[in-house]
Amino acid sequence: MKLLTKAHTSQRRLIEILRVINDADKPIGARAISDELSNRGYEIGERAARYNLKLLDELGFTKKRGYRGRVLTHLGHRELSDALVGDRIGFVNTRIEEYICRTDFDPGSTGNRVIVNTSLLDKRDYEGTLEQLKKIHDAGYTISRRIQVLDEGQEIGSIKVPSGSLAMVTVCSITIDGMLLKRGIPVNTTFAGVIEVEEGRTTAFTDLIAYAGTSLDPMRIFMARKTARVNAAVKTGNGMVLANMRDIPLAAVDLARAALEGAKSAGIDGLIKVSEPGEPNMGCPVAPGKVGIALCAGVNAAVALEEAGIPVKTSPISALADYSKMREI
Amino acid sequence: MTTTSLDPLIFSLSRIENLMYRVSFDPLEMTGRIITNSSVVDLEMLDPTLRIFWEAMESGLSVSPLVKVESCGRRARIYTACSITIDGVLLKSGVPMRPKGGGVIEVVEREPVRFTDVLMYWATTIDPIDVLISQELTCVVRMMQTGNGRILGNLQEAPMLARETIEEVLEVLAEAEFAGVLEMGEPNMDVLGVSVERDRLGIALVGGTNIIAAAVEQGMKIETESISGLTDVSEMRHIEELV
Repeated sequence: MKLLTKAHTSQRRLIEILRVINDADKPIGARAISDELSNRGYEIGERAARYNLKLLDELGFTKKRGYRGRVLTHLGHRELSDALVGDRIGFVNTRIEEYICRTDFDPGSTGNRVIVNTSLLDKRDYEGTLEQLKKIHDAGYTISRRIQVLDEGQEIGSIKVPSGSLAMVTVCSITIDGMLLKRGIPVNTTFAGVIEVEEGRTTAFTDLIAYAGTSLDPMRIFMARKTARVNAAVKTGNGMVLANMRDIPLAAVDLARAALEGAKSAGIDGLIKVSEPGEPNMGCPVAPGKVGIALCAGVNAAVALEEAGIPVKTSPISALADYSKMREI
Repeated sequence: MTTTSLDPLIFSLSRIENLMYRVSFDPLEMTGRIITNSSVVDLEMLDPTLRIFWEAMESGLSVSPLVKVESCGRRARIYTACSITIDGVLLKSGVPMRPKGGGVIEVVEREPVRFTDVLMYWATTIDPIDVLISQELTCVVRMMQTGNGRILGNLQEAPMLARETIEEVLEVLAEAEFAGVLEMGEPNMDVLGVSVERDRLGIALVGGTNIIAAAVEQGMKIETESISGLTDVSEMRHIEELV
């Protein structure tokens, strides 16, 4: 806890070093750390980096591995997730923006990289899941019918599928935000929420959390609270599903509608409702001069499996995947 | 396709301000209404739950030792003080208190050191503390036993020129056994790692729901609703009379 006594600026620098080490896929030395810090706007020479690393070693956050490389300790990982809460409020928005910059999916182009959620499940539970997923897709509570299944040992993003497990990769609704951005529309992902389904129709949001106002991932919050009732919505027509909202300028609404239609014909849908200008979208606030687009959350598939008693570990917005390699179920 | 756009949902901040406005507690006279959290337990679990509440209160993890128990069939509803009561009393003393958000606070050797997670009131329709209890991020019991752990707290801001009034009111409240200030920041300075707006000071208060989190961590089945309503202090009793 000695890190806490550091002045804010030096604390920030130390945390940035921890982030650089964490982002590297193998032990990383002072020279490479110094270079990467410079890319991120922190001008620290190799010598100063070395000094800071010694400090971090003493605090127990890093340790040497092999010849001059450093890795994070358990304590270091913990510190990374606990320190500088002010910097972490709204972190999901930052991650969303990174991903919508990187995705290039657009039915009008050759771009095929979509943003995906990754759900890990036990191999023995695999039988029956496809049947289950099919029903959720049929009901329209996901983004795309296409999924990818990865076997143990395979990797996606920073996730390696552990032995005995499978990874189910599903399309994330943020893919659509990326497509809107590529068409020049400034898109702002605002809220995640729970939406009520009555007689097979999505009627109104019952709870909302803004991405910009929390250090926790709102979608994960809703998944952990187990408020959704996806299977009930599928079976009886009455239940709750997870959804999210994005704002776009009123001037872009026609272009956005055309883009959504195009995506739909390529198998990426999930649209719940485009609001009237400046009006709330099913209870979710929309700024004046904007239009709110509500989409189903891609994680509804994983939520439905959990509801059926299948243990699933889901990482929303976890990687990019090649849409042409995903198959329809 | 429906044509109605429905009214917007109510976010925590509005709900809290509505309740703050309705606080009528006078700490000198010990009269009026305070904001309370409610917990519903099975009747046979009432005594063990109250005992855990009492232990947590003894460790300084609550706002007030006052409780009200109401039986409803085979279950009991327990009302306990919510820290927003303090905002309400300050408001009635003319201080424009701004509740900002709730979060998890790391405690090292009985000293609160920093927020590790925060959820702003403007950003959520579910009370942040209810959210955080369900994420299993707290270690309230460990904090009670070892002095190290993670507890629930919230953050509010006030204009820096109200500092003297705030200190006076807090003193009067403390005499009425209403406490729970974890940290009052210097003007413009961070409070437990969260920044404040210019010319304002931040106050971190202990969440009244820590006692509930302590019971949940020990396996009690509790349905909780934080910042749920108002209770008249004349209907409440000191927890020592009940355990």
